[in-house]
Amino acid sequence: MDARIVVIDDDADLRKALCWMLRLDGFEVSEFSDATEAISRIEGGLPADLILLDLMMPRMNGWEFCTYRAQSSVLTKVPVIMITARQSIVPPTGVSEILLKPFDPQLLQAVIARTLARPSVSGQE
Amino acid sequence: MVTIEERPYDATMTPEERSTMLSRVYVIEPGIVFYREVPVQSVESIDLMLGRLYELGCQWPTFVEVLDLSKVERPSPAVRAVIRNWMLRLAPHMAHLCIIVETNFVMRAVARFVAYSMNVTELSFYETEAEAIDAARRLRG
Amino acid sequence: MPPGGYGADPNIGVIGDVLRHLAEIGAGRTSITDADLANAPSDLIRELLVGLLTLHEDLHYERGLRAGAEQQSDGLVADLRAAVAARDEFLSVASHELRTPLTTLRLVTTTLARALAHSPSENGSDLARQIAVINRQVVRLETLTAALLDVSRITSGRLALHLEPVDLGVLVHEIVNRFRADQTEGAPLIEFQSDSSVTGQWDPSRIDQVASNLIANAVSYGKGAPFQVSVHAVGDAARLIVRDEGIGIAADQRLRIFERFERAVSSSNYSGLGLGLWIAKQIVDAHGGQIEVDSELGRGATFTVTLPRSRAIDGSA
Repeated sequence: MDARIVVIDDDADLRKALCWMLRLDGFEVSEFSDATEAISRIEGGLPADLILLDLMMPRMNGWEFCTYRAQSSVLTKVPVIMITARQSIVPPTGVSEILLKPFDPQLLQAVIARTLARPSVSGQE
Repeated sequence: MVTIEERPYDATMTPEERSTMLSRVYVIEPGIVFYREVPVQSVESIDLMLGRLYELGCQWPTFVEVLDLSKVERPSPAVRAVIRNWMLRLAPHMAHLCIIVETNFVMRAVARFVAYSMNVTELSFYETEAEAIDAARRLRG
Repeated sequence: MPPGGYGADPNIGVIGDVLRHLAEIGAGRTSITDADLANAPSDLIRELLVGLLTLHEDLHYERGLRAGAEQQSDGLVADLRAAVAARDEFLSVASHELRTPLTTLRLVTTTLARALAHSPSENGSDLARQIAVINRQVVRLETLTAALLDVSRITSGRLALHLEPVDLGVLVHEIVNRFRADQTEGAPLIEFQSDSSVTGQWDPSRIDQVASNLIANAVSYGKGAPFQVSVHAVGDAARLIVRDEGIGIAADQRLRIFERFERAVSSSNYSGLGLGLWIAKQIVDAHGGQIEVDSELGRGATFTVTLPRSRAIDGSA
């Protein structure tokens, strides 16, 4: 079965660009412009094997999402890859990997592959 | 012709005021230029009138200036600085400076002080215009 | 001492007054008034007082002029500082803001290229070439953006080195291979040679930047001829040498090429911002090393980077 990726980013063009590439790679992709909406859908049963998360978003940003995720039994099961332009940041809790913009698309694919290959244990960083 | 009042005239002076000021600098005889200073000097008035003095005086190899300071107030440092600059250009052409002070003893002291500070030593002081012009004729040689 | 003592000398009073006035003037004030001048008992005293008062006024005037000039120059310096800070801030913000659009561009061109490969069409190869061109431009933009950000970071003192144990020979070999892999037909041959175990504590990504810049320059300015890259251990130092047989550098340019935005070549022939060598020098300096060039116009260039192997670096980087 193809892995299911959730993309959360308020920048529509970047979000679309990510979805196109990931679908071409064979993933099933759900996209959200707003983190709170993503939370309610995933907790409501939307299957997710990986979350691609932008850091800077208006209503709920990447840090806030990770803080919420830490105490959500559903969300902690889903690894998070963070995408950001900001270089020296304190990584939010529970993030598996951080990708700095601009990144080589091949690097993104490699990071996704190895994150999915990792055995997922709830709460593990 | 307008009356020059007892106040400084700056760049806003009218053309009439300007030409009245210029008319206070004139040739008495060949080699002798008369300069009746305005009561309150300004940088602009000095530039105007000493410029005219320079034009008129340089018609001859040297000239004598008759300078009327009898109604003049003590000049400010800014004015003195401009006078000093003009004096550097005028001094080589000026054989002598005859200064009318009447009873303006303060201006006599100031004139002497300022002249000496510019190394202008050929100067003499007079109580009347007639005496000054007489002396100028003799000094012109 | 005159007969009768000093009290008999009529000039004492005047001299005493003059001394008092001089002292006041020296302290920046005077008690002489115009009335004093008008009412002076003698011409001599009047002239003395005029002289003193004029002196005081001239001093004040000059002090006022100087203060005005100083204020102006202080103002200018402040303006200049503010302008430099604003420029650095702008560079930082601009290069930061460029990152998201560049990421999007890269993703889309990659996807386009792959979609095209999967479903070939009539104009397939043309489209593929065009997409490749777009992709290359994006990579160029990324490089320029990173360079601009580096410049702004370095100039605002925010260049931070992350030191690790690094084998310079291994690192440079990887870089050379990267260049070799990207090369197309007719590209210059890169010869590489290294001593073994040239190790030290350096920032690998920053040293990568330095080596890449030197190698890229050798490719650009080497006239297509083969060039040599070598790594040596020289006592307590490590040395990276990049030597090419290209257009060379004129004597008067040899120092200037390390300055910001300086280029030894005309911009109509060779493109680029002229930042690479400046950034390289900042990085090498921050490591406590040196970077030098030996070159003659028309006779190629040899760039030598020397890095200390043991840790004795200014902590201020």
